[in-house]
Amino acid sequence: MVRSLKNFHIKKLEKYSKEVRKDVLKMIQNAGSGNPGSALSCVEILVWLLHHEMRFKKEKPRWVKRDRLILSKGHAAPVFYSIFSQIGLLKKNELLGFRNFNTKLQTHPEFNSLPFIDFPSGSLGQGLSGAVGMALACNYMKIHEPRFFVLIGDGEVQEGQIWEAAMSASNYHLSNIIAILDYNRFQQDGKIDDVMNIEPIKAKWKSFNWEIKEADGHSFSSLSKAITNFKTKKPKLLIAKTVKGKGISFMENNNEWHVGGSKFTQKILNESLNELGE
Amino acid sequence: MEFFNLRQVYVDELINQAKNDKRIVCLDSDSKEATLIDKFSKRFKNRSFSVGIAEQNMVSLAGGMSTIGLIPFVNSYGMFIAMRALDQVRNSVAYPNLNVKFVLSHHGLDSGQDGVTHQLTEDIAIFRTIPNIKLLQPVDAIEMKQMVRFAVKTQGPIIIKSGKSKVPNLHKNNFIWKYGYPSLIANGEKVAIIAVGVMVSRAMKARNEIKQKFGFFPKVINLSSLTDVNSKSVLKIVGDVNFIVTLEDHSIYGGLGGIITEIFSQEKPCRIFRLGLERTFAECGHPDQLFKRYNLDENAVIRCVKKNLKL
Repeated sequence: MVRSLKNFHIKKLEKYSKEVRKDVLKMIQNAGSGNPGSALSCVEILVWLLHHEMRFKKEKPRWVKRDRLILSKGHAAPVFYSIFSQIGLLKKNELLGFRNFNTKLQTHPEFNSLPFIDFPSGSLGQGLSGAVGMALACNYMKIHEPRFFVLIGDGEVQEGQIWEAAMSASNYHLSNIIAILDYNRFQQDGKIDDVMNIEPIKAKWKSFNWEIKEADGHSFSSLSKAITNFKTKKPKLLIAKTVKGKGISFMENNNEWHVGGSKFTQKILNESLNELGE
Repeated sequence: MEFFNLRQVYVDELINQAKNDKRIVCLDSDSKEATLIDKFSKRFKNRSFSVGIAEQNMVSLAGGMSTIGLIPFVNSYGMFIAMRALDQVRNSVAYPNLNVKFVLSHHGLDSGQDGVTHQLTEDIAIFRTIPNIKLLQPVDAIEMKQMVRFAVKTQGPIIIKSGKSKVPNLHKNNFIWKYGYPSLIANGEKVAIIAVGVMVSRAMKARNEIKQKFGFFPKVINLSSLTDVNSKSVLKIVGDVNFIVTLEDHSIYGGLGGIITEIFSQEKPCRIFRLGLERTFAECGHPDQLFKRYNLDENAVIRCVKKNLKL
């Protein structure tokens, strides 16, 4: 069941997103490594899902009828962690543990260290298969409520396993799988088009018998409208057009910020936070 | 002597378990006939998922199923799980310690005419390095049945190698298999032959011929748990011998020979001769022809014993 999105929701989500961006930058700068560009492109998508669209109970994270979220592009983990701290499932002061020694906040979401990770990720291409398994299992057990959201990266669809999973999702008529493609047009080594062109991406998924909608991945109303417009019983792909490094002027569409590393100094962090109004 | 197809024994026992446990489901990758799981599929149609020739998807998909509370049994040729889907086995199943079971057929030269691409001779070395995985290779039907029950009731990833050729029962009917422990198949002296899977029967053949030729019986020991091996019980069961011969349908590197060498190098240095494949691929043919050509048959064991006892 899709949730309606009112203006007051949007204002709240925008506020959350700004705070998530600040957290993410602080976490990555503190760790001395990480993927700011890839994280910043999916902030609105994950804020919208976890703060608005998805159905779950924070006091009962393993509730069987909950919607699931698989962060198949696991390197966006700091966004995930930040939002869970906003929800109250992590303490704010735990966030800076990210990527550091002796932390629950592993580089990629670790299944057993946190109660709200629905499926492990980190090795690209595996999350959609996990969702197919979950959806099949729920069908078999006659648990019909959950939807299975999977956030996949655009570079990630170069993995063959994505297409094995796509084929099986439509084969089994898994209409409650909603994959969201974070289409920021960059991957680690450069522009997607230069490294390995994935176009025509819509036609590819369509030929695998998926229903496809497009949205502005930084607009809550656009994301919400897209999901409302899904009409068929097919598995669904929402192509979210995003900007890598979104929100920080010098990181936007600049693949040098795919990874942070030593160039991400305290001074640059402060400049970034200034842009976000801190 | 009656011979049993361990794939068949597995499927029958799994059906028994599944009658009372609705969490059990089966997956295969166009390998229903090869793994003999089609009997389960016919019996439990809505609990059988054929995912096509796509092992990577199958493994992660099984991981997803297990998070909902099912116990998926993944059925495939060993090669295409151990090699093609290894990343998925490690990262989608073993690292999160998900409750997925793998029953893998067709190993080593025993898969004979299926050819080199299907003759998996590296899996013990691969799987036993991955934390959380329990790796098992039953020697006979008596062990196989118990291993299936163990897999159902034990949380976490378990891999059972079901093999291909039929094998006789080497244990008595009342034998109780225990994870991590070796078992004595036949007592003896001077030499301990430690073997795994279909090679244990060949070790028994060698034992009888050694008695005829040289007048003594070597010990024959079966090691069907290839992870979490209890060192003390291995030392105890081997006892005082001149040397150990390991026999496996696998590379001599990192498999059974590796396990035994690691144990004895720490606990009680002794000579260990490892029989297995050494830096070579084999070829297609009947298993008996292949075991002979690649020095894995009973004669290879006899030659090894003769040479090193200076008989």
